[in-house]
Amino acid sequence: MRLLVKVSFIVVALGAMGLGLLALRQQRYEVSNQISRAHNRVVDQERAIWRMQAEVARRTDPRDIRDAAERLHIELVPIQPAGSTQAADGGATSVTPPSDPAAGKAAPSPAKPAGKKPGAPKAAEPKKKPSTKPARKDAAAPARKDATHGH
Amino acid sequence: MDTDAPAPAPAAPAGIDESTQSSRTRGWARVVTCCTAALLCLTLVRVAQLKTVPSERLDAAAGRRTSVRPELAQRGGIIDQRGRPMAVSLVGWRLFCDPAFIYESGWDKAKKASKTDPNAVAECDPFRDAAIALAPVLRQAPQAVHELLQKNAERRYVVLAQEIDDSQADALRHLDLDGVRLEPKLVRDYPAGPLASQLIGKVGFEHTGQAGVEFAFNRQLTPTDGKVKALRDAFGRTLWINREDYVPGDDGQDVRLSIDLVIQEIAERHLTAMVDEVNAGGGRLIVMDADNGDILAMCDVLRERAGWKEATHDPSRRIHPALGRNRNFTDPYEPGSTFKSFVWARATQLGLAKPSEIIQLPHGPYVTPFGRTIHDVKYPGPVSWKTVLIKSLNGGMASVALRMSHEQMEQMVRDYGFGQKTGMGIPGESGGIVTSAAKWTKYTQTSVAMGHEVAVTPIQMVRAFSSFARPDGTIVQPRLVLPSGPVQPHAFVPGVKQVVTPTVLAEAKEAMAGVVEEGTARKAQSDWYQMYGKTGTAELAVPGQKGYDRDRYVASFLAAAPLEHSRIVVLCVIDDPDKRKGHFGGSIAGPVVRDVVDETLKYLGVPYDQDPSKRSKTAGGGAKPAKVAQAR
Repeated sequence: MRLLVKVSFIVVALGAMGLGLLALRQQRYEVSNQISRAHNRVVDQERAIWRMQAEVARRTDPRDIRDAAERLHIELVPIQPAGSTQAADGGATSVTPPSDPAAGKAAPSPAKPAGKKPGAPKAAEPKKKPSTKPARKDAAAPARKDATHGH
Repeated sequence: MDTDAPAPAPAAPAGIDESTQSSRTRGWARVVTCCTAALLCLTLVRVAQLKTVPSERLDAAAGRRTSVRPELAQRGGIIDQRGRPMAVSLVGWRLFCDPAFIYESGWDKAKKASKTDPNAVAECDPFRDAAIALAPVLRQAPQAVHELLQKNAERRYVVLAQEIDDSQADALRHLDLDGVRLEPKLVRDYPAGPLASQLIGKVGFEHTGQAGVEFAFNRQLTPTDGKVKALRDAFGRTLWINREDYVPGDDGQDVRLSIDLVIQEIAERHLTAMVDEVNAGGGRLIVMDADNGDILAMCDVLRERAGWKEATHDPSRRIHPALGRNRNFTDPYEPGSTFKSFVWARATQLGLAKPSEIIQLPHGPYVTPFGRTIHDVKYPGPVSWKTVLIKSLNGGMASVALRMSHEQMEQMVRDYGFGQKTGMGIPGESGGIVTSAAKWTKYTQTSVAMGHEVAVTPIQMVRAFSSFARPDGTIVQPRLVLPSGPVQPHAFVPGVKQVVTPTVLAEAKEAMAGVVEEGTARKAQSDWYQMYGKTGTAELAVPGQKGYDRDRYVASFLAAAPLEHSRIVVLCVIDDPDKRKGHFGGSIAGPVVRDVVDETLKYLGVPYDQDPSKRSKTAGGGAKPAKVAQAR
């Protein structure tokens, strides 16, 4: 009787071990499955990012920006490209926006941008545009200094 | 003592009973053990059988348990100087089908349906049904799809559409047709549309470069696809991917161009407007940063005019505009008078003429000592050497060119880089045409002085002219692709060769500023920036014959600005304009350059340097604003 109990115990123990192993195996597969799904999601997200990058690029097309700026009467002003510094020859890398010689203010020399530190990260806002030629659309447009060319 | 009396049965010993019970239990235990062992063995054998040699029925039911698919990697992008995407890759879809499966599946369905509908088999045409379902999604006629399916009825893989958009893909998923599948593939997107299309080029169906930068830098841009082996369930769903079965892809490298999309847009807008206005066969325009040779904009417009026998053809553009050759590199042209600036500078540098020296010219055509008659538009008589350049007098140039030796003239041409490719890595680049020393004659000497008998590409012209725009008189190597890693835009890059001395540089710039102020390029005078340059109006050579067509021209203007610290060099070439609408370089190419210079320098934040008094004079009616500027 004792032996039967022992044998039964061994059988039950083996069965339990087998079930335990099966459960572990199942869990491993489930985790693998989740990893695969996560991988697929990453791939999908990556592809969505590619698509959005293209969409952003399309919507920042220079022609569209120019048209929108004209429509909204916004004057575009230059910005210095990221990472740019003063030219090695100490010269013409000015980012100073056009001044207004016609209004009696002398245009600063390109080599010495007036009131601007060399290599400053962003151009100052432009002064009022010359009014000697009102026929020109850009000169006549009222200035709203909240937009830049850079995107 | 009764010995016969039966002896009482001996009581069974307790130990024997226990042993019998024990042996019985052991027997049962053996049986249970054996059964369990047998069961386990059978299970193991069955598992082994299922794993190794499953029955056909089970195998078919389980289907393919693994599938291998490529892991798409992204082709490198093409971006502009400021990082704006000009070409990017996306995942799109290719639509394919299995006609044989469509046919079998259709008939199976019809046979099943025949139990309830007796006409089901008689009316069955799987290809017709598939074509009717697919045609609206593919935006094709059902007959065309039906024909395609029938033609390839035996095949197992037929591409129905190389590229379909997302809405089409969604519609097809909704239809859930048997034997019709979507396959992911990379598609190339050009967010800037036609801007710089001849420069960027295009990729083919296999996502490899076919033209332009896409072709030239294909190796750098090309990605390496990865590989995924996935275990799937009976419904084809991914169960899992083992680590060893996943090989990640390697994205292609980005190519960063020196082009600035905003300047490119400015240049294309003004060039296209003028080409349309003068009904020209085409136009080319380059904007180069004088400090470092960065090509900020490069345009190439080609038109086909009804009723004209065009001088330039590009059949590839009929297939797709982006497949056309980039004529700024490939098509040399006779520069005409724009070439005089180089001859003038070299003659001055050699001491053969001084800017103030009076060149004795007749009040009529100049006749060379060897009898060649040189014609001009006007014959002002004796003028200074500086005025020869300002008024672009052929006679004056020829007379001073004859003071130069053939070797000096040829050396000048070579020094400025003509006759040699720029080495920018663009396929099909032409080195231009320069007469060899052996064939150089006195006719060549006088022709070259006027920009004839020499053919140059626009990129060679801006490279040569950069020597005037740089403070040290050196030629800069043009740069279309920026090096990888951090780049300092507008940083000064040393030139490759000094061709003009500082003294002559100042004299040449002064003379060329005169060209804009009082010479042939008065219409190019800007209200905001002082410009210097040289106009050119060359007659077109008659194709396949000797000589020139007297009514067809190439008009050009080559200039730099601002005057003191020049920032950009701009060349505009208008090919074969309608003579009735204007054909002089100063009249049609000049205003384009002026408008491009104005807008570009403002965009770059370069301070105005034009004298206000001159500006008001100009605004008062000196130079007519171009129609392209008015039309903005």
